Amino acid sequence: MVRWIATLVVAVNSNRRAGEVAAGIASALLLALIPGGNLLWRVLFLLTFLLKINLAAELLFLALFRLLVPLGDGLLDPLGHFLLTLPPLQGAFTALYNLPLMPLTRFNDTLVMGGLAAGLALWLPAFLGARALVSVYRRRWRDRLAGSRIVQIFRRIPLVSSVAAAAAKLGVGAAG
Amino acid sequence: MALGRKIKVPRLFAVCLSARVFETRVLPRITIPSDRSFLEGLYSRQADGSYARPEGLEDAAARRLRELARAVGQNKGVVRVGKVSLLAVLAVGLLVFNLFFHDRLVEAGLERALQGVFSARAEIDGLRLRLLRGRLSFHRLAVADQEQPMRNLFELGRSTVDLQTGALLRGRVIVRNLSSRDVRWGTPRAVSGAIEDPAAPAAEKRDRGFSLSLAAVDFRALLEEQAGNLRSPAAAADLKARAQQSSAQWSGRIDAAEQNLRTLADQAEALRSLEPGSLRTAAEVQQALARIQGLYPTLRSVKQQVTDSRQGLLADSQELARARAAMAGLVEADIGYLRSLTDLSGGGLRSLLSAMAAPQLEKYLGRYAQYAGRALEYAQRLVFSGGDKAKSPKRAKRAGSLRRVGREVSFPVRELPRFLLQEMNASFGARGEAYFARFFLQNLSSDPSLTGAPVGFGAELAQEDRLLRVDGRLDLRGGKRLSADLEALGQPLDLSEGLEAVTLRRLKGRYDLRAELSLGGGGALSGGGRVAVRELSLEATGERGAIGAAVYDALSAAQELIVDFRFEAEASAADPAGGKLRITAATNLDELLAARLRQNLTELNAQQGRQLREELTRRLEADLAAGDSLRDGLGALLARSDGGLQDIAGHEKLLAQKRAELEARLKQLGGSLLKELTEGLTLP
Repeated sequence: MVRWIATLVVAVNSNRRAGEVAAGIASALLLALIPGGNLLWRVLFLLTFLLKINLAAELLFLALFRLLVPLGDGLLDPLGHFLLTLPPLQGAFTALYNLPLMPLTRFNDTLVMGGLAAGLALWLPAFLGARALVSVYRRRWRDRLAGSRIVQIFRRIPLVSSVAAAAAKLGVGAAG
Repeated sequence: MALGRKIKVPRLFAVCLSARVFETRVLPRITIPSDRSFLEGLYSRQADGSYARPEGLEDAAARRLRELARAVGQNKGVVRVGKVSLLAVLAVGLLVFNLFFHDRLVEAGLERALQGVFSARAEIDGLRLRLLRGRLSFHRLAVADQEQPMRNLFELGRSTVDLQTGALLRGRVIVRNLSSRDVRWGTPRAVSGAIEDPAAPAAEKRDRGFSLSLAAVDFRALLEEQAGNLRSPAAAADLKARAQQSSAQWSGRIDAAEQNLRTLADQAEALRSLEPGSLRTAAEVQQALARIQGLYPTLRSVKQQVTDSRQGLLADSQELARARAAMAGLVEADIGYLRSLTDLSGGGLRSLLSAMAAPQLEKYLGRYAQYAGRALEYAQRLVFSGGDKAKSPKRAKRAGSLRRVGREVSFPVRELPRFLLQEMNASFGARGEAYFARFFLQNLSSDPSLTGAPVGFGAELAQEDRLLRVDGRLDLRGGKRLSADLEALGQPLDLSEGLEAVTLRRLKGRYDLRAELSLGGGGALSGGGRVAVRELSLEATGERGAIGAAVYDALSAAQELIVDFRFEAEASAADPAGGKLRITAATNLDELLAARLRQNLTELNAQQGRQLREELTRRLEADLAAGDSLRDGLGALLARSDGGLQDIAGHEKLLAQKRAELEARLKQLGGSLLKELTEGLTLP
């Protein structure tokens, strides 16, 4: 976990593309919205390993979002049920369900379908928003924070010093 | 400045960079403003549009450029090349495996599956599976015969199998079509095809077809077969057993009674020599009387013993004599029953020709009934072996406190059986050629209820002018039912066994057979058909009696012998345990033969009656003789018991006589004593 935090700190404070961090956060939101233990979630998760997405951001925010997402199940379940019972889509869903391996994705589960739909819909806004935040941070706050007194005090906190040490090992440089 | 190695500036940040490289490949990939400012300050634009920096750089600047070069290198592309490469290596590995190994695995798996169904070795050569095309092909497939391990049950040549690939990924083997250019059966094997129980007989298999119904003129065989229906043999055996039991019982008791009688006789003899006149005193006389009195209980006891034994013995002897007398009646009844089976005056099964045809039909149809039974057995094994794995219950979802589970919306699913062969065609040669064979099979499934259709099968073998055709259906839905039509045209007939009774050595010809066979849910077998035999050629044995001559004449004169038959069995005769089959047959020559025989019928019937009586009597002789001998022994015992009773009477008489004599002597002694006592007394 410390390593993930350090990697994220390095990524945000270095020249790594803001889009990679943002994609990690957006993908974490998508994966958190879809319940785990099915083929769909596993394929999506595997895909993120093959793309240039900041995995530390993804894993950290996945853990965070998973704590919060159950609060939204009340909305996801009816959304999923609405989509799965939509008459124009019945033929497609039936054909899909009769394909080999497709039943393993459990797309016919209301939470899975609702989570997938909500996750796909929210992915782009989350990506854009996170990328903007990272860009703003780098442009306005990074250099200012690097030498501030508050940050010096903050660094003395044991957890933070561990993170800083780990970040240093990863070659923060610009993070100071 | 510390001495040491100078930090090398990355090649990306050469002294001179083109505008394209600096403005499109470097700057856009640097996002930290201070780093951008650093680069923009380090590189200055030249007159020709390129960007240049100072040649000598301090270590700090060089170190910073190295970090920035790493960032530029990392900030390109969307895909992680390393991990994708690893995935590609895995894919290549799978491809290599697919090319070189998976065919062998599929071949081994298919061989195991076939061995499971047929319980014999299966060999496949040259198998190739192309999943994407959904095609499986092989050069040769051979399945050994479980009952004849050195022969193949069937063998397929170069064959192609079209599969549903999508169903394969769902663990279902759906064969749309299987075509084979070469099919053979019963071919010899170089190695044994047995896979278990090597002690199972591999030699000539016992014909476990139908049981013999009857042989009309072989009396010995007739009696053997009808033994269970005859009463006289059982009665004779019972008579002998009862006589043995009676003899053993009564001889022991008679011996015991005679022993007691001898003891009594000794005591009685001792009394015979007693002279009452020699007894001087009343006390002596009374003592003698007491001895006599003491013998009476023994006498009565022995007398009772002998009397009881005699009565029991007499009763048994009389009973055995009655049973012996009844034997004659039983023998006559049995002879009458046997003659009813061999009566030559009617047609139907009782006719000779039908009786000759029945065993031959049993052998021929029995073979096909066995094939039908085995086909049913294999199909059931396929259903059983497919069904036990297909329906594993779905694992219940673990909806623990941390696991999110929604509602399941169901969609229609086409349920497929675990295995389905929709169409199989195999052929050898072509119609019109010297040899042609064709075999087809349809809708063979591990779950017939899903298929919704019975299994269809058929075979056709044509060789020159001979044809054998089988068409059938096997319905495993609900109960099991098999029906098949069999047609054999122009088949050669050459019989040399079972003709002795009609004094024929050989019967040759050609026959056409049409039959239908049905195997029901409870294993009940039934069917019927017609055999037409033509171009008859007969060879007679040297001696021909009336029957042989009549049969020979009838067959020689006939253009065609037609046999109509029906058969049925309650338990399947094709089961390994074997079952009793009843076959009824009638020929078109029955009446003709009966008419010819009717002339000599009386003599034939009488002759048969004599032969039956001789044979039956011969069988009963031993038991009856033993029974008679034992009965004689019982008579001797009876005589002994009579003698014993006479002896007892004699002893009774002796004792009575002696008693009377002693009482007289006592009276005499008493009178003398009174005279002595009263001598010299005067009475008032």
